[in-house]
Amino acid sequence: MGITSYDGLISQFSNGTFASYPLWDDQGVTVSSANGFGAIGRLGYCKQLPNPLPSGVTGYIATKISLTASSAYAALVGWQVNLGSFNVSTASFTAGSSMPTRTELGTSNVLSSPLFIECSTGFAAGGTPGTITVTYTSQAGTAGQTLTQILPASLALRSVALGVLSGTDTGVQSISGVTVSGQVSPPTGIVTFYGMIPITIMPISASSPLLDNLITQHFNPMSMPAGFNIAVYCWASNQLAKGLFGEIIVVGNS
Amino acid sequence: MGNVLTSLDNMLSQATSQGLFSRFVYQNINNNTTNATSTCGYTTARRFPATITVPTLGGSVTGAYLVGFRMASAQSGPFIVGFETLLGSLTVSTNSFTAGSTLPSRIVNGTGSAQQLASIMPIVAIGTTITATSPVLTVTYTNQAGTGARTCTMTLPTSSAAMSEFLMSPHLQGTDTGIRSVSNISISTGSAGVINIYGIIPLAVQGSVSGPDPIPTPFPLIELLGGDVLSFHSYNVIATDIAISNIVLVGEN
Repeated sequence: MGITSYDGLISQFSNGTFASYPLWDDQGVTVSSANGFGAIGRLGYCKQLPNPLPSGVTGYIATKISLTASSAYAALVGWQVNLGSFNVSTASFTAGSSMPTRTELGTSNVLSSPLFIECSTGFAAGGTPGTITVTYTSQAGTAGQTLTQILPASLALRSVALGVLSGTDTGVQSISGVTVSGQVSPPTGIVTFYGMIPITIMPISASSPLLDNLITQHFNPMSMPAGFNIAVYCWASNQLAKGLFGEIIVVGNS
Repeated sequence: MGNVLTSLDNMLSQATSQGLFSRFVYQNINNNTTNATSTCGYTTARRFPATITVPTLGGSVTGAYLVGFRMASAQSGPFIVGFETLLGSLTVSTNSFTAGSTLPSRIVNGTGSAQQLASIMPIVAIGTTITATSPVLTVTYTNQAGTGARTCTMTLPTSSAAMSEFLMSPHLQGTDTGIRSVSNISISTGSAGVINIYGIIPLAVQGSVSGPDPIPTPFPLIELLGGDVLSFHSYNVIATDIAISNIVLVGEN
C-alpha cells in the first residue's frame, strides 16, 4: 500500500519501522585538480542499508538528514549506482549495473544521472593513464553515445570528475564499454563510474549540524529498494573536509 | 480543481501511487559569459545549457508540479528554475527571424480553469556567441494583456558570449509587465551568432546553498505537462562554472 499520508509516515516512527544510520568520514583527502577532476570529491558514505529488506518493509524512505564537517561546503546526497569501472593498468572495463527503472508521474522510466567518474583506487605515480572514451546510453534511451575524459597522472583517491556528456544529453542510464588511448606505461589505478538517485543538495556548516527535512523542506520521499549505498559528494576546491559526521533517518515503507 | 497541492497528505499519496520525478542535473559553463549593462537588463545573468523536459505523464496523472529545487555550484547563487517557452530566434548573420511558440494556458496554484500565461521574466539568451559591435536588438511582442505590436529595444554588449542572458523586463514598452508571444526580432548589426528569446515563468529561487537554508519556493505553482521544458539560471556571475541541481516533480490527478 505504501505511505500515503503524513500520519502514516509518523506511525512508522511510533511502531518502530525506522532507523538512524550514521554518515561519516574521518579522512581529510587532498583530491587532484586536473582535467575536470578536483572540483568535486566524494566526502563520505553511509553503511549500506540492510539487504534484504526487513520483514514487512517494501522500501526505504529517507526523511531527514543532518551533516557537519570541518569546513562549509555544498553537499550532494544520493543513492549511489555503480555503473562500472575501468582498470587503468590493464585497460579493462568491468560492467556494473544500469540505473533502475521506476514509476515516475504514472509512467515507467529508466532513471538517469550525471556521470560521476570517481578515482576508487589512487593512481600510482609515473606513467600516462591516457584518455578514456565511455560509451553510454543517454537519458532518452539512445545507445552508443560517447564522452571522453582525460585521466591525469597521480590521480588521488576520491577525486571526482563529472563527465561532459555528448551534445544535449543530460544523463546516463548505463555504460556499455570503455576504451582508452594515449597510454604510456600506465600506472595502477581504478576509476569507477557512478550514477546518483537524488536525496538532496544541502549546505554543510562547520559550526553546527544542519538539518534537512526531506518531507517538509525538500520534498523527496522516494521509496528505495535494498542494495544501494548512500553517498555524499561535495564541492571540494581540491581539499575535502575532515570529520564529516551526521545521520540519515530512514523509515520503512510498508 | 487541483488535488495534490491541497495537503501534504495528498502529496505523499501521489508520491507513493504515481511516483515522483526526481533528478540531478549537471551544468557545465565552459566559457565566461558577458556582464549586463543598463541598456540590456542591468542584472548580469546567464542561462545554463542543460534543461530538463517533463516526461510523458501516465496513469491517472494529468499534470505535474515542481515541489523541490536545490542547486549548488562552484560559483555562488542565486539560482532560478523556470518553465521555459521559446518565443523566437534570430540568426544574426542574416538578420532572419524564426517564430517560436506563444506561452500556453495553464492552471495556476492547482485551482480554477486554465489561464493564459505571460512571462514576467522574458530573456534574450545568447545561443552561440555573437559577432557584433554594440548591436541594437528590437523585439516585437504581445504583452501580458494581449496587446500586440509592442516593442522592446536593447543595446547588447559587443560580442556577447554564449550562455549569457539579458533580462528584457526593464526595457518593455511603457508599463508592460510581461510577454505572451514574439512576432519579430531584428538586430542592427552583426555577422555571426544565434539569439533566442525565451519566456520564463519562474518556479523557484534559491540563494547560495552554502547558506543555512535555501529559500523556499515563493512563486505561483504552474501546472506542467509532458514535454514542458525547465531551464536554470544564475545571476551576478560570469566566470566558468559547474553546477548541479535537484528538481522534484509530483503528479496531479
